[in-house]
Amino acid sequence: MSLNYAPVLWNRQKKIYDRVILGLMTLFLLVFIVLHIAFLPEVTVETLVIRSTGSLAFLMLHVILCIGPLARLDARFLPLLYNRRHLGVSMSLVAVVHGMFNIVQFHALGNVDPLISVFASNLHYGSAARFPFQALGFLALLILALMASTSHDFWLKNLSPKVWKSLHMMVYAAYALLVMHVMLGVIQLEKSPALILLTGAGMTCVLALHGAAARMGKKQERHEGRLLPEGFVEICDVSEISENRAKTVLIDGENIAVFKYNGKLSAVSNLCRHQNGPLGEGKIVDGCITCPWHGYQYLPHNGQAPPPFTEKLETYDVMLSGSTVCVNPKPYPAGTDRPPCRIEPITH
Amino acid sequence: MTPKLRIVHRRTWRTLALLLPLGFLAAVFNIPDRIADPGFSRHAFLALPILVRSGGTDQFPAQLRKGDPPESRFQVELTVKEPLTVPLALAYLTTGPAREVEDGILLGSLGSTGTYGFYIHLPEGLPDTLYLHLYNPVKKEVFQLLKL
Repeated sequence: MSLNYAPVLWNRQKKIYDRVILGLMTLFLLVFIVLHIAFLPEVTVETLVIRSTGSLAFLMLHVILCIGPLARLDARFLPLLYNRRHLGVSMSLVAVVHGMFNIVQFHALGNVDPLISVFASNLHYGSAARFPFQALGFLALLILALMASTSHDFWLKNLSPKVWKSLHMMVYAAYALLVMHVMLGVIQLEKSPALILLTGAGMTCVLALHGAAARMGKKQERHEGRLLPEGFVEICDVSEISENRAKTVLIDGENIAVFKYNGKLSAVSNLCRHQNGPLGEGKIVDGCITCPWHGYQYLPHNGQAPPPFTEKLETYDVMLSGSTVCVNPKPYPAGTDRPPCRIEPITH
Repeated sequence: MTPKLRIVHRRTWRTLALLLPLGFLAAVFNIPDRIADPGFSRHAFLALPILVRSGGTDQFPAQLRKGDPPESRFQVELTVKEPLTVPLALAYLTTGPAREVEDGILLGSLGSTGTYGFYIHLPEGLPDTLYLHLYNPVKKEVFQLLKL
């Protein structure tokens, strides 16, 4: 909500989130190091750092990639989504440590520039067993480092949401590069069935969760309501919408959230102006629609963020036909005040 | 998520769902039978029973050994106590400190920490002093000269 670069606006939730991340990372590293020393006592400190940080970063990336679809499939995972960027930045830092130690250990102390050596020391691109897997890891590291350095809202605003989102979707390319970095690197050398199974399981989990979330999203998009005069489309029965919650629909490309609150109905765009979060999965708090991702708020009757904030949503007309909620998918300009539809109590 | 973003996500994940398993299986089926670099395995060798003399330094202790007759070979036992800071190290044996390494006997290459054993033949008999040159072929310099 700020154009100026401001440091992280810490709140209690972020502090807890970060403490948990730090605690789990420390625990993983300790267990990894202890087990390595126990079973491979000859291992050097440099190799231990390389292996522990590489494993940790790879595991963290899997967790990060699973958070998105998990949050769509089950709202209980939403708290993990709120500060996912902290997890991403932490993972990038661990990956940078892994990369730097690798470059110094295997490519420094020679007569070729270390960064050139990463790409030039091994040119066996035609061999799976001897593939220059370090180049794959280096490219992935570049992507992750770029994402980590632009994860602040300052960059979201200044790069424009479209550019920022395109940049951050490169995490999928980074993931593919890292899976192959592991499969063509340590798996070729160690040949451990456990490592192969773990990598395969992680990859399957990420792919399966995204597939499930995509199927769920597609199911929700298919709305076949009856078309009424004046362009209104039937949505659902009013009893299907919980108090202070919304029903979301996609009609003619319009992503709409219809909120029920204080005996009224209002319809706004389902996409938060911050990062296109699903407003319809949020709720009304203190009279404002609250985005479940980062807490951005909007007034339901006009789609405007409460002062001093200036974000605005498109609004839509909504009416009741008996007990059936109907919405006109033609949007009004962002911030347009539209009178809410009153829900008349049923009298006998 | 906007409808356009959702479409891009779907296409991306369909591509990954196709390519990643293919890459994974290709890598698994191409795992070599023999590991090119044994990594952390101990350098196993059988030390000859008779210790002739010891030398070297604290970082590179060295011993000269020989076997029971009729075994006529000698064995140079060299221990690398701390990781080397050169990308490649070769061990040469000469009978004088100023001799060029190329005039000496190439014993072998050194890698990670551990103990290395190199068999040698000395048909002209055992000299009073042998010199072990630890040589960096990248920079073309002897980084350690050991007396034995």
